[in-house]
Amino acid sequence: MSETKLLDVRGVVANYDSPRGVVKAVNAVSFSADRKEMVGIVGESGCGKSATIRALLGLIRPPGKVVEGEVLLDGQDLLKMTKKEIRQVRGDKIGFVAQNPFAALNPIYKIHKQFHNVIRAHEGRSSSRSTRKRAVDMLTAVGIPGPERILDGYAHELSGGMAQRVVIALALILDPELIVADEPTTALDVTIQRQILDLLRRKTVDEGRSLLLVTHDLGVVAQYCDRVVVMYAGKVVETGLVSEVFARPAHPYTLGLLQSVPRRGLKVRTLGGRVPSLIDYPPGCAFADRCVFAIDRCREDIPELRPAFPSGRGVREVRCHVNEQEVFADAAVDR
Amino acid sequence: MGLMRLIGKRLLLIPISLFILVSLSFLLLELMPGNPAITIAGDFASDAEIEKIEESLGLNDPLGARYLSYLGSVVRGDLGRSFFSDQPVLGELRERLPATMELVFLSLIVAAIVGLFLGVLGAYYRGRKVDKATRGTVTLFQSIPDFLMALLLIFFLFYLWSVAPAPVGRLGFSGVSVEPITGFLLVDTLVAGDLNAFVLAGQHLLLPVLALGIVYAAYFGKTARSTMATALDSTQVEFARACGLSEWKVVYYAFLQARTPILTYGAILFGALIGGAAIIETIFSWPGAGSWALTAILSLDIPVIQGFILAAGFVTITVFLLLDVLILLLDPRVRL
Repeated sequence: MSETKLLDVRGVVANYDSPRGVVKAVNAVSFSADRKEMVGIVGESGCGKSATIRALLGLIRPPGKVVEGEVLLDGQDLLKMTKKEIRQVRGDKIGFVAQNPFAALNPIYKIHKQFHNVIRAHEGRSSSRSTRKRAVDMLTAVGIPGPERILDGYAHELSGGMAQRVVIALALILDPELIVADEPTTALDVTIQRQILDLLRRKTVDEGRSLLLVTHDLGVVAQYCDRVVVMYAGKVVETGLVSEVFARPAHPYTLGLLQSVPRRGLKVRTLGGRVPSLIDYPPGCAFADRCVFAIDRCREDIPELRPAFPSGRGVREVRCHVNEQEVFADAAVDR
Repeated sequence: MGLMRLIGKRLLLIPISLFILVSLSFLLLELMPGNPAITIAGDFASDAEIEKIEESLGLNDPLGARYLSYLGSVVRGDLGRSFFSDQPVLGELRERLPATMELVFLSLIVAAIVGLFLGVLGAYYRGRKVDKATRGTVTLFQSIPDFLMALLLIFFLFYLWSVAPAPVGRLGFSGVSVEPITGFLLVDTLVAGDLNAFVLAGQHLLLPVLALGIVYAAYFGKTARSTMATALDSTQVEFARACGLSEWKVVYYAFLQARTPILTYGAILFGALIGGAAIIETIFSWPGAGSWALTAILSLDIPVIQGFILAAGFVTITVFLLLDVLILLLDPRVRL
């Protein structure tokens, strides 16, 4: 690990004002990502994973607001930037890959025009010929055959996989250091999923970028990511190397997520209950009501992130009052 | 190409639509109570006089015969003569319809500009003070009846501040005459090179256009606010923003999505205003088709009413055809 990480997110808090009260969508979230590293952010719907990446892209719109924290990219705090500065960072230093390519691409403009607009937004006047050349090169690099023809067509003429490749090419056209992918394969079928993830890994590892992969698919995380950030109710509940976390889950929620994935020879368990309201945050651990390990303290005292399994590889943190050995022992029962 | 086929198909539909329209309106007018002969002759006319007028208007012929004879003359391009002025309906239409269309067209442009401005602003600053202010303005515009708006404008802009000329027709009492070519005064005066008449026509258009434009801006404002709010929330707009496009460009991307329903609304308003501008026309002594038809309805001048319905129908159908073609040209997804 190098001294300065490419991305360092520290204590980010993002709130949404709603008629019923303030929704704490992102609650003191911290994590980091290094070059050549793929970091998975997992959690169920509404856990704040999408809001987290939007916070670091400056994409949280009113009634939402980032109220605290730092997002350091190459040592520069994105949250302190003016609107104009953060706009220049988006696309140029951070590439965003959306979930559904057909929803993300502009349906009215030809593909070339969309590349042209992105390049022009950052580099000012550019000739149509030069942007076209760059778009062709980038489309080729993301594995699109016949890029010239694609550039003169529209998004709706593409297949799902091709459309997502075009989105990736748009995200990479200005050579960003960080790629943020929001469920990039959820809208695609399984065979295409693999191709897209392989492509993202190549673009990250081979070209020295960093990738944040938001997903609820643990299989994808296990197979592709180096580290994982597990989120629950707006907070990070566990982080660590994927190999460590998946082998020895320290948080009961992580354990629950792992057990809910069907695997041969293992019993599938479901997590009962629902995510608590983010408006009336419980006085103790947000997961306590669904947790089989919960003790009295869990309902009174909000747990802090603390180191777990100190003997293991890499930095490992968990937000839980229960001893991780106890949680892991339960995971071992299934084997 | 699909476009030409669609236009061809729609052009073929126009005569059919008009036939249905003429037949329906003929039958509906038949159901209208009252006897035009009495209206023409006056309440004190003798039965014999009324009988004579009925005879001369052909009102005593059986319904089928009258329907067929009307249909026949319509096909030959003869819309009959007014019961009262004895002027050919077609000739009057030719004078009055362009006056209305010029008024409606300009009003809708004003309405679209004002309404889009308010609606887009409100959608962009949704839930914030700007949104509340624009929504309040839109509600205010919508709750003022057009005739009241016209009277207020006349009171302030003509009577108090003398910015606009008196509300007396398209050119006032200036004595200026313009050779009708298109019937649109702003066009005709330019073609004739008569700049004075152009300015005069513009001045006389100012108040009625403002009255209609402000009131109908509310409708554009509401549509624009809701469609833009949805568009600004879309993944497409978020992706554009995530690519670092400027806010102007991002809003423009949203507008590309929102413009189809807004255009459709504009076309519907155009059709509705051909007759709906009647009150404004009356207030401004505008020699338009709406006030003409209104007078005809009050006096049971059936050929005029029929002629107006036919003309308004024709204009509406044409506008809708143009709208469909426009949408087809604007959105590559609709092209087949």
